[in-house]
Amino acid sequence: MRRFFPRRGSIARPWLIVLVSLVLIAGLAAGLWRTSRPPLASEANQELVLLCAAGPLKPVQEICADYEREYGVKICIDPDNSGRLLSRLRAAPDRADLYLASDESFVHDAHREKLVAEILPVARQHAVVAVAKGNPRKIHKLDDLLKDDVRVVLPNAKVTAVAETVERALQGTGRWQALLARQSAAGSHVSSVGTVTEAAQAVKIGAADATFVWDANARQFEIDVVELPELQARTQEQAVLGVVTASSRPTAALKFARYLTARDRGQKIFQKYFYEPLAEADVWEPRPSLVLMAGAMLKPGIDDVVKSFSAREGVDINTIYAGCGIHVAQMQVMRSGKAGPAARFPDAYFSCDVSFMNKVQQWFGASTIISRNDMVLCVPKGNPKHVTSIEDLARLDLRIGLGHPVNSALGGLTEDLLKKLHLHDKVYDPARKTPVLHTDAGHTLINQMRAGALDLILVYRSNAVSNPENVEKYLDIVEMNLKEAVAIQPFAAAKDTQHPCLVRRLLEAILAPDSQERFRKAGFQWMAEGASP
Amino acid sequence: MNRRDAISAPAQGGNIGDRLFLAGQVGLLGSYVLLIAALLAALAMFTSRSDIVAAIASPEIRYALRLSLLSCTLTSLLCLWIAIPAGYVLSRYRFAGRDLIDAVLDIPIVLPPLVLGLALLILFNHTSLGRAVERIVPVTFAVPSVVLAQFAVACAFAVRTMRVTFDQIDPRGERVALTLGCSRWQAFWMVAMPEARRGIFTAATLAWARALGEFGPILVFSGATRFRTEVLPTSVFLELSTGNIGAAAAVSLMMVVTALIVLVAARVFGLRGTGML
Repeated sequence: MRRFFPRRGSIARPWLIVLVSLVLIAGLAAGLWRTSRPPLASEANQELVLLCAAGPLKPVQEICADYEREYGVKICIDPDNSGRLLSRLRAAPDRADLYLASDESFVHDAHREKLVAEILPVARQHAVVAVAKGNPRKIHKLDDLLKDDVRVVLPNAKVTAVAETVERALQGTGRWQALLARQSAAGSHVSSVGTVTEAAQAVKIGAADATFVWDANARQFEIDVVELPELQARTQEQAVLGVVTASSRPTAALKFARYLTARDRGQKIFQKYFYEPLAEADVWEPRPSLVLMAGAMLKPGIDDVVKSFSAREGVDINTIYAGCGIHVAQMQVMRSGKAGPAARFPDAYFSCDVSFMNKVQQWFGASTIISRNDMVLCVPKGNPKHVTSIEDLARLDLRIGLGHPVNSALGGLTEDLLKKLHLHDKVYDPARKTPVLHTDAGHTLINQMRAGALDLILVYRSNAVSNPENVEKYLDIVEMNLKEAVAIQPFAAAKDTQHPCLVRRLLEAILAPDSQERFRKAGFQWMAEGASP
Repeated sequence: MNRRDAISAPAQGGNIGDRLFLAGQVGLLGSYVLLIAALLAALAMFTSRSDIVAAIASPEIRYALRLSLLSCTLTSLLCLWIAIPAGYVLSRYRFAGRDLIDAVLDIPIVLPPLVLGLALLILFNHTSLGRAVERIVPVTFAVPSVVLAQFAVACAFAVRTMRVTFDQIDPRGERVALTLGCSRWQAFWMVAMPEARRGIFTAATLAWARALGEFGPILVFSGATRFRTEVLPTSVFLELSTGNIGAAAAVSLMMVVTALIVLVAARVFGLRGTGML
């Protein structure tokens, strides 16, 4: 029998075992800590976490390695299938900076749930029939998949984007149903797998003769592709990248996102891996700059949006506020080649009124109507001259202020309105004691009135109400209620901008609910309900 | 099986029934061993020497190997810390709720791995307790989450093993020790523990092996970030996802060889002197 009690001065054996075990645990924990030592604080700022769909993993890995080499920023890629990554993003929304899904619907879901702030298109792909190398079963058309001796693997239509897309494309042809019917038949050679990569693996290993996969996947797995016209046109899908809303490094994440999607950086590598090029992609610049021409009246509506967009994206936006007539003239000069080399054609134009956009529309893509702005009469507080309608502009005893008929949209619209109402000649009557004052922007007229220099002005409602102090202390608004007295503000991107995606994101920021609220507070009426860039 | 308890094979010219019985048993054992050998051969066939060399040379896979070995060993030690007292209590004492606790301990075994990962993810990100822990030590998508995910599953197997081990040890020895003046603690250490040595070793190796193969909860709770939470099963998954079946098979073989080396070495050193080798 062993001694129950240790000799005096020695350590009891049980305690020794406990101690050794604890030391071992501590040693292993220290070993793990050393193995996975978190980066130093300065390095931590140089690291981004990318949740990446397994499909485009290869090109993404290569792009990340290039980016790290070029800018010293490490991208930690966390791959899985798009759906599971979305679940993880839902469970831990602040543990990633970027989310790349093979199927855009996942990222749009994340966007709806406010998990993702910005969405960038990454690459395009379409569904194909993948067959073993050399196509030994001679599969050339969809009906070949229905032959009894052809073993088919179908990716699950409920969880894989490719099968969902193929099912949609084959709707009405009865072929998808026929394949499913074969699957449930006894001794069937049709079976189902959970992911598109499993489907490709099955064909590569020889467990199946054919399957539906994305074209890029098939080529990465080095199996043969059978292009079917009924799939090629109707199964186009887009892999997209979302910037996580809760990311603590949104500017760094967006910079990498722009790199990954740039036509002369990430896009080149995606094409190397057989992805189809995007119809529209930006040129890479570490810190791009945009020129935005915007009507002066839009400043209260967009100024803060542009500033916060520029700060978040880490880009420079040179916003040129002026009368729209001046903008149009400048653009025409630039396009005529008479402008100096420093003059840069705008990447986007946010016009005070569609009439001015129409004058330069040939250089811009389709417009998005954002807002409308009513024209109103303004008089000094208390309306001392008893102004009641637009006809009062014809009164010779009043000091009148109007927008410049050529330089500004406000002036142009006013001019048209006065002519239509047969007031033009009366307003510009040479007998008027004080000539009509013209300015390029409505807010200048407001300032003149506040200074006591004018009795009646015709401006946009936003000119008057964007500063609450105006209507509280200095001015009264006299409504005209004329359907012609309205300006409609369209936004459009230049056709030849080098940054079409960046401009589209700027438009998204302008269309966002908080921006909408800002427009409303500034006196605009929102017209872009449900609009998307 | 202890050598002392082994039944020797029937001598030449023994009963025909015994021979058939033995042949049947050996045949069934052989078929299973054959299946395992065939699986390994299939893996070996699908890879090439260059794939294996590339896998060994790859810094990502070397990191995954190191992380796997360290985390599995830590996990199995932690499992023993829980499994030995848990198995002893469940085996030796009768108390209210014992059956319920016994059933609860099986949950990690029956729960689908992905669900376990999801539960851990939610626990550490959507509960005040989890968030409090995260504030002190980042767990989710970091190395501690790997150990925790492995531990959550492996510990259930270790507890079950220790419970069975203590069930099979006759408590009379401990009772005799108590009558000779031992405290409960001394009876446990001096009598039950030496008897349970083989079971402890089995529990540790089972936990280690289970942790090495763990994938589902790690994928969900720890992610698959290279040079961070990538363990060997994750490497296989990553290689498969990109169509590198040869590389995936190479990493799988590497995992098999590593497990064999560690388990055989542990068996040699762990059971030395017990008469079980």
